Amino acid sequence: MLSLSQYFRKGSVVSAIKLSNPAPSKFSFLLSRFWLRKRYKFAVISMVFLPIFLFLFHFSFSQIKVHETFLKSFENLKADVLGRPEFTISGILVRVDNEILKQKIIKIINIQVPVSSLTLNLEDTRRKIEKLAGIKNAAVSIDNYGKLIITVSERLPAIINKVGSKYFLLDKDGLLVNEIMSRFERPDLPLFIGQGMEGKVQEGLKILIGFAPYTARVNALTWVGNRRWNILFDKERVIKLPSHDPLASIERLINLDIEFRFLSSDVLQIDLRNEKFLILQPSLGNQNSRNIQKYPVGEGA
Amino acid sequence: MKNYFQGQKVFSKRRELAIRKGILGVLDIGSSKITCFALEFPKVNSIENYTSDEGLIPKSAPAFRVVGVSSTKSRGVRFGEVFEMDEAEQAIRTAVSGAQKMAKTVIEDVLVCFSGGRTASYSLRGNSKVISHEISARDISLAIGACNFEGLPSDSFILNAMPVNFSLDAKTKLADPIGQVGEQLSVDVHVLTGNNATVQNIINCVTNCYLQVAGINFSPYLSGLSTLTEDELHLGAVCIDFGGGTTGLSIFFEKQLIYADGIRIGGCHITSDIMQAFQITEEIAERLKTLHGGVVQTSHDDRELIEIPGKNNNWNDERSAISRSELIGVIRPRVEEMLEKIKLKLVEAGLDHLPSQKIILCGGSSQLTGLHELASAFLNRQVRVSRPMRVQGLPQAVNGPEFSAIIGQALQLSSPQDESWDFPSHLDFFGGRKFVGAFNWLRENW
Repeated sequence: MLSLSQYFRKGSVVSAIKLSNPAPSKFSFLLSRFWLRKRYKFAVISMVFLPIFLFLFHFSFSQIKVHETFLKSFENLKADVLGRPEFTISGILVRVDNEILKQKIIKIINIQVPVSSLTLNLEDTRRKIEKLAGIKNAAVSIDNYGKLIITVSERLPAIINKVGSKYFLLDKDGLLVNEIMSRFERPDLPLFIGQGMEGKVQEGLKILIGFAPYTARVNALTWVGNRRWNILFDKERVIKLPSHDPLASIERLINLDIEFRFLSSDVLQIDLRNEKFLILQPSLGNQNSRNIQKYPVGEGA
Repeated sequence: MKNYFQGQKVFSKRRELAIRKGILGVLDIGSSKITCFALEFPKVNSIENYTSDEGLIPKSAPAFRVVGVSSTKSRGVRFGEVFEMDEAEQAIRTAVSGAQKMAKTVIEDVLVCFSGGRTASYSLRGNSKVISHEISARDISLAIGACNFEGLPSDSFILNAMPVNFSLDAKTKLADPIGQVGEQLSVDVHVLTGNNATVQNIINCVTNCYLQVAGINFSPYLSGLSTLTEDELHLGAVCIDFGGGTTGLSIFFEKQLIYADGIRIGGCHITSDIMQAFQITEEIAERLKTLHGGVVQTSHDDRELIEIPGKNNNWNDERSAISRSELIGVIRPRVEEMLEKIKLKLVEAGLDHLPSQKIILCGGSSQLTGLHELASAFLNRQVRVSRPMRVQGLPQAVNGPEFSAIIGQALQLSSPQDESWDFPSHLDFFGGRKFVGAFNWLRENW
């Protein structure tokens, strides 16, 4: 039991009286009024509490133990979030028919499943895949079942390009699709010989189409001097095309051939480089004809 | 010559500033409760937002909205006067901090209304010759200046000085003579005064709570403003405000207050009668009064028993019962005494000469069952119990008749009337005052 004086000392009596009267003291009333003014509130917070908070922050983080504990708990939290099954990728699905290309893609993206999708950079992965030879474009996405889906559209080889002793498959834009060991791996594709024809593949293909009745007899197209085309015809015959507008020359040649049939005869070389003249080099075996015949062509003929 | 309105001029200037600032408190210092409202005034161009909310408010009037309400049990106030400064300050702080908390702003300026203060009503008349051809505000202030304010008791504080009627030559009953042509202008001013010391005590109490007084007014007058209808104000009516410590009455005619007074008996006295009669605590007596109280007996009341705590005031130990007619027998004599005194005051005020003598009851004790029947029998006039008008943003809980005074104080802001101090003082036109006026003009328009 407490005596009455003890009660007073403890302040219990005073607090009991206060309970019956809810009035704020003069000081707390004044303080609450200051606190309701936004300017003072801001000033108090920025000038008193913010420095205290910053000091405490600095003080606590300068202790190595606190710092380590904080970092560790942060790492744990990070791992917890990354390890959530909602974010886990369980498999990779590459949508492409070509098995070799598929292996290449899986090798280059270098993702070991299971992995958290939050750590993946899909855009970066897509760029990596598109850098691969023979890939036109790629789309990388994650489906609802936690699978990484890579959809790839391949480049289709249009020609075989022979440089030195190497054979390359190029698409119609002249971009590399693959390297092959021998020309006979893809006998269905035309052979273009020479270096530096990247932008000219389309033109070469057009020449072949324009040379339509004899296309099957063309052995190869040669890119000469990084400037113009030669058609290697069967029986080791050569048709030299001009650098400017070879398609028109081809057309002219076909028209002349209807009349003179020299493509069927044993002409060694047909030179179309000069617009005004068609130069034929007959074969050595043909004794009746002159070494070189000149047919005037064009308007003045 | 003394300038009687200097204090009131300061108040009205402060009120204007507070309205422009956007927040104004209203404080009702009563004997049983202290209530504080926080009124929010919109900026001038955003008044439209307020008109669309509830009903229509004329755009010219300062529309306001009640954003904070707080009511607390009164302490240190008896008969509407401050008896214990410290306790009254505590109660004011409680009420104001509650309203501030609800409004989330600081209340700087308050309009105070109180009901005690030994008020007195005077009718003064002033005459003056019209200086210019047409009557201007200056002529009116000259006429007001001619009123015999010196004749008022020296210890009086002018609460209200309203020019109620203007007469120009032979014409009378003019509400606003400005612009009319005449020679002799006379004005009737109704002056309501309170005891200077009492009013100063209340003002000190409020200023000690770090609040500034932006006006002080007499509760019964304000109750009349909030409870009387337009017709009643026009034809003449009496508003009787049954408060806790006092009962006030105000008489209105031609939309003007013409008489206001109070008697020092109220609902608290009924409670204390019940306490003494049945030897119970104040809380239980108050409960008995509000739940079972009444003034008209019926034969059924003899059989209706009300339980009260026994000898040692412990509800659980021992109980006894009283019949309702016993309770009514305690309440009724006190109410009769109140009505008797009111009747005397009404005769004193000359109510018999008014065309309409309707009596409107308001205030907390007007909710006593059967009071309006007793009052109409006692005063021989048509009586009705009224509730105050609606104010925007006011909670339903504080819209009862006990809050009619404070609501009236808020409503007075939206339909202000020109008081005598709103006219330029007649003293400004003479002598050295001219120079002071010029100096003031320079200072204000710097």
